[in-house]
Amino acid sequence: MNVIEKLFEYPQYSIPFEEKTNFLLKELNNLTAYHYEKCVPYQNIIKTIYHNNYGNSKNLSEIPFFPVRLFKNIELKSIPDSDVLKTLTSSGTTSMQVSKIFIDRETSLLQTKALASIVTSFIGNKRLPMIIIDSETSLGTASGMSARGAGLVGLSNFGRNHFYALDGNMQLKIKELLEFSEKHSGEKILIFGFTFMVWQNFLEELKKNNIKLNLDGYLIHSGGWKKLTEIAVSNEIFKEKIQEQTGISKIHNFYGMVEQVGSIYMECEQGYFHSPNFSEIILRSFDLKPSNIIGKEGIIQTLSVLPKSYPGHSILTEDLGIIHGIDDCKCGRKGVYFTISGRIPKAELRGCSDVYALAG
Amino acid sequence: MSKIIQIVPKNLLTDDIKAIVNNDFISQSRLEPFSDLTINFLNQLSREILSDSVTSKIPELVALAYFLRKSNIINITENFKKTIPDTEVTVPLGVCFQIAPSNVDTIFMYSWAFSLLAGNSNIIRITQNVGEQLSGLLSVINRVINNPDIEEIRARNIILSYSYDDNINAYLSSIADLRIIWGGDSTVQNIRKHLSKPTTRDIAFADKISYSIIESKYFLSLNDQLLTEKVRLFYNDSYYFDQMACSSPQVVYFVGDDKDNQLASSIFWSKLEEILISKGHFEHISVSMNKLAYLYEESASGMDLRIQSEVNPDKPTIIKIAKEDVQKIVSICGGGYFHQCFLADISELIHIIKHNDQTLSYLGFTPEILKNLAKSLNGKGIDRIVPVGQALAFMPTWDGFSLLNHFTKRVVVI
Repeated sequence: MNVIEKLFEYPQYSIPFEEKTNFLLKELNNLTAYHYEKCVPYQNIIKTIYHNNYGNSKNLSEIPFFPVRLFKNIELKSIPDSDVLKTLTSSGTTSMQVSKIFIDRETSLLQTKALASIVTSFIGNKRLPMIIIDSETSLGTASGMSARGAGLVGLSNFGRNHFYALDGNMQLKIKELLEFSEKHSGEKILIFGFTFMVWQNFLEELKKNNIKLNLDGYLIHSGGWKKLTEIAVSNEIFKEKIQEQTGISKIHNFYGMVEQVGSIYMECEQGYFHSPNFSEIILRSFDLKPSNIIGKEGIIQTLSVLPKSYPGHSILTEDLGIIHGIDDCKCGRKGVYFTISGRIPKAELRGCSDVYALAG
Repeated sequence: MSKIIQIVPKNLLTDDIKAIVNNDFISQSRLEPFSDLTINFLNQLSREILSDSVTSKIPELVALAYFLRKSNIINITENFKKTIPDTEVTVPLGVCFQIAPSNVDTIFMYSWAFSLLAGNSNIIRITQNVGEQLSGLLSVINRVINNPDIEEIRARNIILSYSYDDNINAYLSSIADLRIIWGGDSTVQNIRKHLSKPTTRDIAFADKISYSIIESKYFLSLNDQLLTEKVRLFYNDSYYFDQMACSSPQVVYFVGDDKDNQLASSIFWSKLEEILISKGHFEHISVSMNKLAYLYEESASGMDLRIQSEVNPDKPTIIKIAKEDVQKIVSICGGGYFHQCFLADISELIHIIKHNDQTLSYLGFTPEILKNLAKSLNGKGIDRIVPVGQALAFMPTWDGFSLLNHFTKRVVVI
């Protein structure tokens, strides 16, 4: 059994940290060597920045990484163009450029399987009636898909009788929503949406219309807290208000990114994100040295064994996080657990050239 | 109501702009070129910048104030006038529409000053992101412009801000006799797509890359005090605008035999580090992240690079680059990210310089060698060759344009 098979074989969050680290180390070393052979720009990075040392890292923190921004400026792929099944793109909110991630059949299957393994460990194997807090038009096409579309498609596998709760203008379809909850009353249901849209397009609309639902089941959401932090909505408030308005009490945020689809970090009942079998985070201080000190904030580097079609198995994000412990979360799950504390703050550089023509 | 310099940036709509830049404004008589009125106005600005509690503490604005003072302006205009034959009279072009860059707050002041001296009326679009420097400068302008003596200038100059809008750019382009476009390639192309009059002149400042060149033997011959002083000047050239100005050095060439280059470069960078320490330099994490992403990106491209000094918040990042690969540097990083390159002879530059190269700031070398270099380059690239310390000093000839020449026209009288 190879390492990836083993990681799928073990129940999620059951492998003690050190054992899991050894699995990951082996596979990530393999992946580094694999992408070195298959992806020339990646090979160039390893040559210049890592002096051609690769494939024999003794610690996860020694695995070569690169800043996530590179996906915006360079096409990084380890497969011939003919094998590209789909290209995922990030939603470029702040920058004009978007990340491009090239996925082939093998990687796509691994991502789907991994996501299933992680999500079903929270909500069970049974497909639940599902409300998607988005519009069907957001899906995009199969070959070119936004991060949002990819998230929707990925998660929709866990539901049945999918109901897209927003119309093309992002308005809540209240009548249909009430019919849906009537029809499935007494059943466990699954709600999925992007955090801010769940708040604004779903919860606020329910409140405005004085509707309280009496649902049972799960809400899974993702997409970042920036906009909610601006209006002073914390995770605690979010959960409280959702429960108040919908009856749903099992609410799980997850941390994930288009650059590493599948190996997501789900939030447990204690409010911590957990590293699943397939991935791990490392924190780095501002000088980029590893700093996995419990309780200390650092820049998040994410490692995942899934990316085979592109060299995205070790990425330095621009997110900041805090590791709260290893193997001893009160929820009972093993492994690293952490919270996200924000993004690296931006400073404006000056210069003669500017983006006025495009954005200013 | 008389025209005002509208310096409170806000989101203006096309109609607002048309109301401000109206027919009355456009059809006003031009001011006389090089008038005492203009020279005095610039001098008042200079004085006010130096006495204002905010602007007097900002080195870039102090440099501007020195540039604007009467003696310097008279010197510049006299030198220009000497170039005009007896059979020609200099007159203004008319209305100048200027797009200022968002990030070098002060540079539009120089081109405005030249356009004013030329006698043109001016509409200047400034950034919507007004930082401390720019807001200090704007309040100085506001105070000076309200002086009743200079009502004629006040009526002919408008500084405004609007968010990017094709309609406004199209309107202002349609009435302009001269467009001065800062902001680099993308802004230039974007403004150029708007038709202007057939007679309109464009002065466009494209993306440029600049370099320093150091004669290693000369550098090693300096005593410690002089060494420190020269590197301090290099620090000013590099760090004043976060190394993001077109004329901030991106590559430092050391010229000489390998041994001298090694020694000179190691002394040079350690002096620069000392200066950073003495200034308490510690860069923002986002600057480090920019540098890191830039380093990985240029590494991915397959250029022959050797990391001499890694990305570090209190140190310059130094990357040795093979001379064959310098031309592959297409964008600048900024924030203290330097390439270094060793050359045996200055003439090797001829094969390295390309069309969008701007300033070569030097240490050592005889004027003859530098003039020969400019001649040998024969228009391939490089607009200015100046001593280290003057990379950022704005000069009447910029990016290859003799500005006063381009901002005026000549009437032949024989």
